[in-house]
Amino acid sequence: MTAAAGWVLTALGSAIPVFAIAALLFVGAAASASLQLRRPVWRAGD
Amino acid sequence: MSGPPRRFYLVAVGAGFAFASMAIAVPLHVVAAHAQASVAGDVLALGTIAVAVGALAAGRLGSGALGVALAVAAGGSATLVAATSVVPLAVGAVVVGAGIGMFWVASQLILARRAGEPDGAKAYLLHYAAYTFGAVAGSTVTSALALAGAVFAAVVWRGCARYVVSTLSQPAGETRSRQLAVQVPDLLLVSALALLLPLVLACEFGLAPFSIGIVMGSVALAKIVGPFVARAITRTRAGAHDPDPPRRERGVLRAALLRAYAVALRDGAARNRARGTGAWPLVVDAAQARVEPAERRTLTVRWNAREYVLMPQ
Repeated sequence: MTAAAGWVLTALGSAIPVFAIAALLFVGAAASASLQLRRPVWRAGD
Repeated sequence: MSGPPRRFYLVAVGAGFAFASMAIAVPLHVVAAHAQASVAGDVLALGTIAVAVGALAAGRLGSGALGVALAVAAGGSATLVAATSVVPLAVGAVVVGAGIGMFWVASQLILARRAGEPDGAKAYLLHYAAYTFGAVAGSTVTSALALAGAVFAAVVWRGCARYVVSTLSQPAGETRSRQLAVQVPDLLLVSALALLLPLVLACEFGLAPFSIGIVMGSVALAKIVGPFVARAITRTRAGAHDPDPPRRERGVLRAALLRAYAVALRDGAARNRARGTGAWPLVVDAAQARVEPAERRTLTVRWNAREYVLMPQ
């Protein structure tokens, strides 16, 4: 394995878990936003 | 109900200019004072905490909250200009941070008046883009011009108190848990963006100065473009033609959030972090639109305080 390949694998190994957790948080944000948007918008007289 | 005047967005440019200039000026002052590099991080951390404290304090201010916020930011910038050692530098950063915390609460109270209306989200997007534009400009100058930015914002805003939301009595049924519930999407989004920050920093510190400039410039530009990308999604996405308004709104926001992550995988963390913030104004507007106006003051105060405690910068 070349030094460059090792560097790339190390970088991916440290970055992928972070991206994966960030993905879960983004999906959670989208899901919770969807749930929130099911609530009606406040209107005068409500 | 008419929207805020154009000068409201000019004020956001000035505030962004002042805050970003402070963030740049602090490390420069530290270097000039021959202090340790970690001191700059400590001072900036104090400034961030001050933003949260300023947001809490703004909840107690009356109709002149935005004017007070700008005056405080200008005072902090003046302290930074005069600072020759670390202590006054920290004081200046804290005062600027407090002013910016007040600025966000006061600005969002003005925007919250029209939350949920057809152009409500557009106003949030424009305001955020204006603030970021000011921050891009402020990143290139020193604290002397930060003072100019804060003073500019204060002068522009003078006499516009009629747009400030007056203090409203709180509804009897208001609870912290309900306000926390409507902020859950925001807290998850900010957490995701904060999580990616170490990757951004690693990327920056691993590059040559010229490359760092390019990366930071791209981040700044993406922050401006992000809100407009999110807005474009609302117009062009197929779901935008859904006849059911609530379903259309859900689809649009979901698309904006997921697109932020898709861009992350394609372009790397730095750009994603910036573009992801394009979804942020839409999240704020959606939350404010779902609480009654009397509740929006405390929601805005707590919203900003929680956000800046969570955000590492």
